[in-house]
Amino acid sequence: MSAILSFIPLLVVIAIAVLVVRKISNKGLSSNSTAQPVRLFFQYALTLGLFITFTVGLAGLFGRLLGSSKDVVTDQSSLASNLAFVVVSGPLLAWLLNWLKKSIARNPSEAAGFIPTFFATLAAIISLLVFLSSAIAVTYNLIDGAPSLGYTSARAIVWGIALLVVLRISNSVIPKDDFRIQYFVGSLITAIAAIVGLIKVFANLLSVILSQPMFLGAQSPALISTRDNSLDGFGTLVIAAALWFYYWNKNANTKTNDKMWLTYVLVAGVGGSLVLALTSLTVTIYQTLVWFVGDPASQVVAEHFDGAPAAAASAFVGLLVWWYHKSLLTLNSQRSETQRIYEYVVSAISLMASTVGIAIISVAIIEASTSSIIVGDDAINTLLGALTVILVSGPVWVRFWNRIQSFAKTSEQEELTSPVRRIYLFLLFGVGGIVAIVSLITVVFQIFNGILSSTFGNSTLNEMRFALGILISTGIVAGYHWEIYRHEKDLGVFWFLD
Amino acid sequence: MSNQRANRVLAIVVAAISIVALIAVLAVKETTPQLDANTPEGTVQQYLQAVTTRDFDSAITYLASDTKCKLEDFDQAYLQDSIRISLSDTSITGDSASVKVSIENSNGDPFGGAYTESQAFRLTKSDSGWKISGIPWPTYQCGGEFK
Repeated sequence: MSAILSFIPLLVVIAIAVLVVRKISNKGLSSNSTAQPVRLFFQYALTLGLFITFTVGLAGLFGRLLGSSKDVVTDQSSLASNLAFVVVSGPLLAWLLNWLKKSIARNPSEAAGFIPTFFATLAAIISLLVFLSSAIAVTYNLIDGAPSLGYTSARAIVWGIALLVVLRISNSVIPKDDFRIQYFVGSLITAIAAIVGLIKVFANLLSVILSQPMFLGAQSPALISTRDNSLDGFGTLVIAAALWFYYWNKNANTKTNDKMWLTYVLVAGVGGSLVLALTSLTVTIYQTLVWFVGDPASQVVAEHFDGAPAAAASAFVGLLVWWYHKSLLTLNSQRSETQRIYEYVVSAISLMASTVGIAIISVAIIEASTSSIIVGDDAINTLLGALTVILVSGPVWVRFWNRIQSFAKTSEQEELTSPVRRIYLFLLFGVGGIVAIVSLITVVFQIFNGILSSTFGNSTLNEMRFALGILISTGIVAGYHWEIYRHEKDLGVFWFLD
Repeated sequence: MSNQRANRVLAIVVAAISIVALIAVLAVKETTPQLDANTPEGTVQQYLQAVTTRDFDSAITYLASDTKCKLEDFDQAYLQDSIRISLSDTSITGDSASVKVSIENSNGDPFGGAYTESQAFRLTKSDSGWKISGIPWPTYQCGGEFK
């Protein structure tokens, strides 16, 4: 009885809150007052909160139904919280949805704009994330033959249904163009999951090949192997690829060449995959060079290359995804703005990677000439790492920058007055310049510090090696792009994209 | 390249990798040669076989008679289900030997990567063959003494 009585203050607070919201809501309907966005915000935020608690509670109860027979210890408090979530959130959610339905019927503009799109997108993305992770966990459990499947299956089923409901309701009320953004976010999430799955599958294949006696298996034969060649990656790949097909091919990719599509393809598709490919390729080549030329940490070939299958698979998948997104861009014989953006994005990414390489080389050279390391001399590995970065990224930058510069010569007016080129130059000169100035201040500080404390010498040079390395590399980049900008700054730029 | 063609090429490449990988992981099973049980590496292999199948009663029989390791020490040891142990090096000096192995464990990253640790087993020759001395992997503490 006392437990029931303790709910009375809470119910009073809820009743007051509801009355206040209704009052604001009625005012908002009678006139287009400034209270409407505030009311809409709380209305949608509360709906999202109730949707999450209701779905969590329902998934918990359903999980108990499916998996309780395997439980060794029954957790009564989680049952109580799940019951509370469903009993309280369920009716309130139904009432709020009904209220929203009536509001939208009276004033359809309430379903458009930032607030409804934001909360509907958030609900759809949360549902997608929980469904995706739960569905992948179910496949893992199925493959591994795990005895307890109830809770993860229940979560996958309930959140899968919740995702369908959110998509159905949102698509029916929110304007199509407003809600389109969630398909791009969904495409990104599912693409990342599918890439992880494909890398795992390909890495497994490479591991199987490399463990054969004719390759790495010969040097260190297995004494024991309880390892089943993992099928986990397949589950991730199949589920994520199916969802990606729905999000990307059936929705986001149906209307191409608008700003949202172009931003996604260039930044996430081309840019993201290029970073993955360049990084993984660098790691793969670095491991190989360290084994043959450098100072490997282990003399056992299988130990040294144990991360190689994953790195090589990541490089291949990164290149595949880069090629796919590049193919979607309409690169015609006549140079379009899309083509220009693509070339400048690739050029910027590869140049930044090469700049890091130059900085590391400078650090390694200063380190080798100034320090006297007694144990753990791995300057050769640092140098190899830097050379690998330049070896992988340098040719990409040279190829794309030469192409850009050849257009700058043949179609001077069009290329030099492009806002894309001007932004590229500003970014590289500006960011490079700022970093160079910060490094210069650091270097000068260390010189003064050394002189004033009478410790100036080899150790000072060694201490400032990182700042000096960054100063050299970013100084070269900033200086080069400043020189180009200096010759072009008088040309007028049209600050809009076609 | 058209949208459809790019999709088709992507689907073909992903399907090809998946099919080849599926065949490889199902068909290729890593074989482990059975070493001579009278050699140090053969003794280590038999000990490790017992350990990885969690047959600790059997595992303890490969330890030297003065071992401080008990069944409880093995119960407390951490062992991954999926493991690969390879022979790195063996050296024999009279009645004592050292067997070095590389143990590959899953590192739990999303790409299915692994980390490798090196472990050495010290063995002494007795009347009943080679026996493992000290605190051997996967135990780290035996009879209150740490490795």
